[in-house]
Amino acid sequence: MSLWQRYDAMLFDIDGVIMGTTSLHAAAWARVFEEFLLTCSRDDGRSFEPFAPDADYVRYIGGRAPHDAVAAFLGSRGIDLPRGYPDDPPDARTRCGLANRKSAVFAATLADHGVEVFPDAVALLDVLAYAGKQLAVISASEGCEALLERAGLLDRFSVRVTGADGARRDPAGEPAPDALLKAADLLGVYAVDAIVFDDSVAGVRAGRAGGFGLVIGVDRRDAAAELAGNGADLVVRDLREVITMEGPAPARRMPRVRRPWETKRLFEAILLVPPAEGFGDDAVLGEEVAAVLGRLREHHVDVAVTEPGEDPAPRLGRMVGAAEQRGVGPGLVLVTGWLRTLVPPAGAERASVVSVLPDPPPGPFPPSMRWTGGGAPTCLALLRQQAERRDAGLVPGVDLDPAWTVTVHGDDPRHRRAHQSLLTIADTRFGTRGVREEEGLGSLPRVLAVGVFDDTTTPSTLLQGPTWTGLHLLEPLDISRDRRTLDLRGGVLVRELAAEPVPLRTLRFASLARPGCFAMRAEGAVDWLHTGHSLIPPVTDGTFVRTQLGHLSRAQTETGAGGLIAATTVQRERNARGRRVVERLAFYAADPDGRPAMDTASAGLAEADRLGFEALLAEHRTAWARRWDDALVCIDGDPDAQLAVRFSLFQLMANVPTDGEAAVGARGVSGASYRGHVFWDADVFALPFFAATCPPAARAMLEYRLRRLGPAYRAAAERHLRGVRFPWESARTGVDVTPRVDRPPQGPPIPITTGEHEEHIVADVAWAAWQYAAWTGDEQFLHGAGRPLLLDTARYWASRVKMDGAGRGHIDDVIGPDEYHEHVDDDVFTNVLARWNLRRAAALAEEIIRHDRAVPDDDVRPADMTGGGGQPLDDAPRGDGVAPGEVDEWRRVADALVDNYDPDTGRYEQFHGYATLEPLVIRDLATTAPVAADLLFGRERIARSQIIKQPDVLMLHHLVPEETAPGSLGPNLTFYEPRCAHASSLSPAIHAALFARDGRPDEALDLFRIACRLDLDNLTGTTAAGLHLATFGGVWQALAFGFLGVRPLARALLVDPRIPRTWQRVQMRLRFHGARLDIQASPDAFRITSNAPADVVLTRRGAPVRVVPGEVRRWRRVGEAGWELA
Amino acid sequence: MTTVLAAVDATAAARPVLQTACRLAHALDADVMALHVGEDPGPARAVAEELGTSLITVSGEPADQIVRIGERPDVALVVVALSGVPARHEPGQTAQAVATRLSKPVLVVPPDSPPRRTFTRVLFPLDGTRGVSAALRPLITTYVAAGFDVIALHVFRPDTVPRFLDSAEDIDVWRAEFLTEHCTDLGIRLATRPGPTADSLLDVAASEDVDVIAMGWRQDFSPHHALVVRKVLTEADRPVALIPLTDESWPRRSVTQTFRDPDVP
Repeated sequence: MSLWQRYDAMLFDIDGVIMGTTSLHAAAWARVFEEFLLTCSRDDGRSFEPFAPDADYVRYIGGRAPHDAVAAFLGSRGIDLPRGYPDDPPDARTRCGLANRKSAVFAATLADHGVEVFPDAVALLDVLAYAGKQLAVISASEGCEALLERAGLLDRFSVRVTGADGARRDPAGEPAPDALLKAADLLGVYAVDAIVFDDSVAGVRAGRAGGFGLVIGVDRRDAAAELAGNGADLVVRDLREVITMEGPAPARRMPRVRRPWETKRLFEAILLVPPAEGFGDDAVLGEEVAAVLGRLREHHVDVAVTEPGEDPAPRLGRMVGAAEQRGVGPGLVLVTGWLRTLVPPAGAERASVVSVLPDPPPGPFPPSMRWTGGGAPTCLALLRQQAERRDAGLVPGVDLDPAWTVTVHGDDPRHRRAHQSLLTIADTRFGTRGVREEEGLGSLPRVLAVGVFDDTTTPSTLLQGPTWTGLHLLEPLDISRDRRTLDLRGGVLVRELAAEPVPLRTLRFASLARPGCFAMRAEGAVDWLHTGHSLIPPVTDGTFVRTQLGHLSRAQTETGAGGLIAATTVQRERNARGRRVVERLAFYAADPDGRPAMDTASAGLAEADRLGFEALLAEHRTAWARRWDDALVCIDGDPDAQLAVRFSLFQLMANVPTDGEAAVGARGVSGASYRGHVFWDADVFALPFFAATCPPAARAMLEYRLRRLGPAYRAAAERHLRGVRFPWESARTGVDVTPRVDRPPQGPPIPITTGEHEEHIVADVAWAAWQYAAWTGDEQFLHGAGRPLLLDTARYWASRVKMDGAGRGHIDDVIGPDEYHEHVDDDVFTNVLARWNLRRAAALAEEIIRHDRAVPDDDVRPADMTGGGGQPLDDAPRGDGVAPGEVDEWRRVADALVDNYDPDTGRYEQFHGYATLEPLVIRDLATTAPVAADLLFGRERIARSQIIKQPDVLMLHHLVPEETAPGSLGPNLTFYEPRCAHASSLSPAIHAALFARDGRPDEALDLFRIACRLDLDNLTGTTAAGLHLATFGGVWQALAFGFLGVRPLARALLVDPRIPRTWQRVQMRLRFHGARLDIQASPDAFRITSNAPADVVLTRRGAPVRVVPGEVRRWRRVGEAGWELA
Repeated sequence: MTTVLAAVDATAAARPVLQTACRLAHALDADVMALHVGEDPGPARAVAEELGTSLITVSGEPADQIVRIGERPDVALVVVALSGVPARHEPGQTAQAVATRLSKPVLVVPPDSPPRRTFTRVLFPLDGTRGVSAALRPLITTYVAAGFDVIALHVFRPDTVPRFLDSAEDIDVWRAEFLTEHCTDLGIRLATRPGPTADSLLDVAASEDVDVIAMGWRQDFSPHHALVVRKVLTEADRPVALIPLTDESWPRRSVTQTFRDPDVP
């Protein structure tokens, strides 16, 4: 048996493998670049090294999508062009424009010169086509079809893909195999069953990264070593070598009966188009079809059959829409039957369409349609395959839609732990990091629970739960071929790894519909896939108890103080279709105070097991679809940013509970960094997203604060202050758990003073409470249960402010958000947010009094005075009533508070004495932000300078713009941005939002992209220890508050978009006062629809415009800053 | 059995050089060979006899002979004096020539610092390039295997400093990831410091009282090169091991910023 016979499909790069177009491409590029560089040279007098058709082609052009090639080559010459749009004219000064120019030149050259077809390629294609292999051709540039047609090779290929479609980088920066995977997808084969032929380094790397079964490098330019070194399994000079090449022994590969068209994908929705005359003639066939469709329905597949004469296109559109409502992408929708032609409606283009008409249908095929012929037997076989695979319990797949999937290719030990964080799946209460099933225990935890701590450590840390994902692989598999994909749309993590005799495939999810429930399926070879214990202990000390009862397992972790995590699993194995298939369901229950939870876990598991894997997956995907329905973000014209935003929101939603209380740690449950402690990250950065898309989650975050009022009263009282003082770092009890000292591995311990001095947290919590009420319109909250969050925080500030002889108020000895400067007086952020807090509280108190809305006692849930299970606190003041004179006092203190504002410059001095510090800017340090300036130059050195860590003054313009001096954004942005190191992961997104508001879209976009890629590219170097949830929240705020200019006001939603020209359209869904709004904005227009009446204003004092259901409200830009209703 | 070769001359530096060689050889379980180049081995022989080691004497140009014998396969390390003059704390001609030409680590011993009693702790500066880490790895492994307390030190530069540092805790994570990338599984400590490089290196060496500072270098003592090495040699009051790096192991960094290390004039 020849090597190629063991594979189902072959994917060919056209340029350089099939045809000698490389030199023509190179010539066309040379011409385009020559002209362009000359123009550049003329414009700015620089001289450029010209394009070298050999060296530069190999280095920058080959294997890249055209606009990427432009970027790579021009980058080498120090030129940066905007990306532009695919339909840019050939003379546009954009990457796409140049690429289009090259296409035009290439087409002209082709017409003049013709094209050389390599005879060895034709010979191989003949053999493969004769053998009935599935063939696809991939080209990095347009014009592929014309070339094939001229060469008479067009009919050899059933799928043609242009590399430009969705080309992008994967998180590790490798050339992404998107085009190859798309081709495999369209052919209906797994990557592991396909061979890739490519002549470029980028191409073989992509083939390798995509997990293809075999990557053959075609050496047309004496580059054999380079191809082999970059991942080609074999390198050939002549493709005819492949025809007779013997492969390694065909090992345990199962003999397979080739079917007319076999797809290994498990479709989630199937539309059957019966013959025009129906199955009426053939009752037996009709019954068989009905039976197999019935089986598929039992497996939760959405099945429909068109009526005789019905146009399948609209039905397909509805089916794709319904699939999306179930969290399933169009790539998992199949249309099959007696199809003459089908033009898929918008959004359904990626559905698979297979015609079984006995004769080829007339006219042009849509690109995604295949004709197999074969009529009824083929159709029935196809449906039966689906049913049989479902019956066998094989691992389902996900739609590899580049707009919704984050894929990690291969394995890089340097990024392994960061990838584990990225691939975390969480259900709002429990998270499982993306650790490979067979990986031994590392140093990092795997399963964590929101708000469940181990209190035996000081300070307390997150308790680690038992791990449920472990499997044994008795043979080492080559994980450099691994492909792991996180499907953001449906919240599913899938893995595919080429192996012999069958690939390893796994799928797991953390049920959003049923928090606590995890599920996994895995399939692999009977010889090497084994299960072992389904629950294994975590890496930490503490008690781990495990019991095994047949296929049921139970395990529990606890440490004696703090919480407890109980887990139970049920596992089933069977051998099917030459594979071992493992299905494991796990149910977790936890108690923060260590009370028994195993019964809850067992009951949860029993219910989950009764439903079964497929029903759990279906309800889970549906739950995700609902969340996305409320939180959807689209950015047309910037697929990278769109994906990064979706990833950010996905992980935010996965890490925050929607009921009870939500202790949202800085890294959620994706990692143990910061020990799960709750910072202002939760209140200020994460909460607004939830307030605007999922109010119950925001409410749960506030509930966390409300249930810890007791310790907060106590903390204030201990300092002889009134009201509440929330802790800078908070865990189970609500007592401050900020570490007091940092002990580096070398050198003296460094005291940490944020716990004692970063007091703005008090006002941050008040801001969060108000933000929640502003978005939801839930007045009852501030008047009732949430009242202490505004009133008692104001009481704190009223007692904390010190008045000087001149009647001015000061807050001394604090740390603001800029932690480079400790022990400062009158930090503007602290002072002004405290002022805002006092004024808001005064307004609220007056409202309560004026409306005489004395809330009956039973409506106000008394604050928890027990300090989270500790001793009752009898003498703590209650936060409900308002004492006479208090409102006046708050106003007086607020008005007296200094804010260091200089009306002449329009600037705030960040704190008292800041202006006298060494006036350094980042550029003076010969570096660029973001940079951890204190590490580079030492803490003391930076503290003596004006370099700041993150926005401090500007944080006010972001959080409470109405509390800052009108017109002061610009001057402060101009002053502080050059001084800002952006060393906090919270920082770039905030400045992005402010630059957008200030009408500086380029700077806004640069910082926005940094925020977007923070974890995806591991920019902090610390993603290994968990995802930066606050940055994710900041990304959302940059879009909503910054680019869309959205703010919740008392009675209306403020909308004032500033969309960068490079974006075509931004779409966001928001909830405002109970209505769900859909806002779509382009640089020059925006439109809003709503499912309930909602008022919109364009300026803070503007006249409201009502948006009512069923009506689209449109505005268009007039002048630079104005909008008019269209 | 590997050998530590000690180059002893007629000056007062002979004793600390040979003492250092003996104690390091003991710690690494190696043999010691004392080498004298020149006509009159008298003072050197006395030191060798006192310390109980054999002495071989050859004639010729000192650096040539030390390098020739140092390149013998069994020699793992050559110990030389920084200079023969106790007061002069800068590399002498012989030390410079040997360190520049020998393909093996050269341990440079200051002539007047108190000899280390035992050798248990070594400091390895890592510049954050994988080449340097890979080149030093075998030696680090040797020290770890010999039971040394190995401290790696990374002094931040603009191209290696973390871009973000939310709080001090993050640096622990960063260090763990740095060790994963550069010294996987060797179980050593990593210290990080702000620049300037030589100052931080000397500072950590002193505060941890390390017995050896082990630095990779490109064996180039020409003007404006090896400024950090020069400064460490001149100011350290303890032995400094210079470990040759090949060009492959240390590709020149392409730092586009014009960051100036204050060590560099």
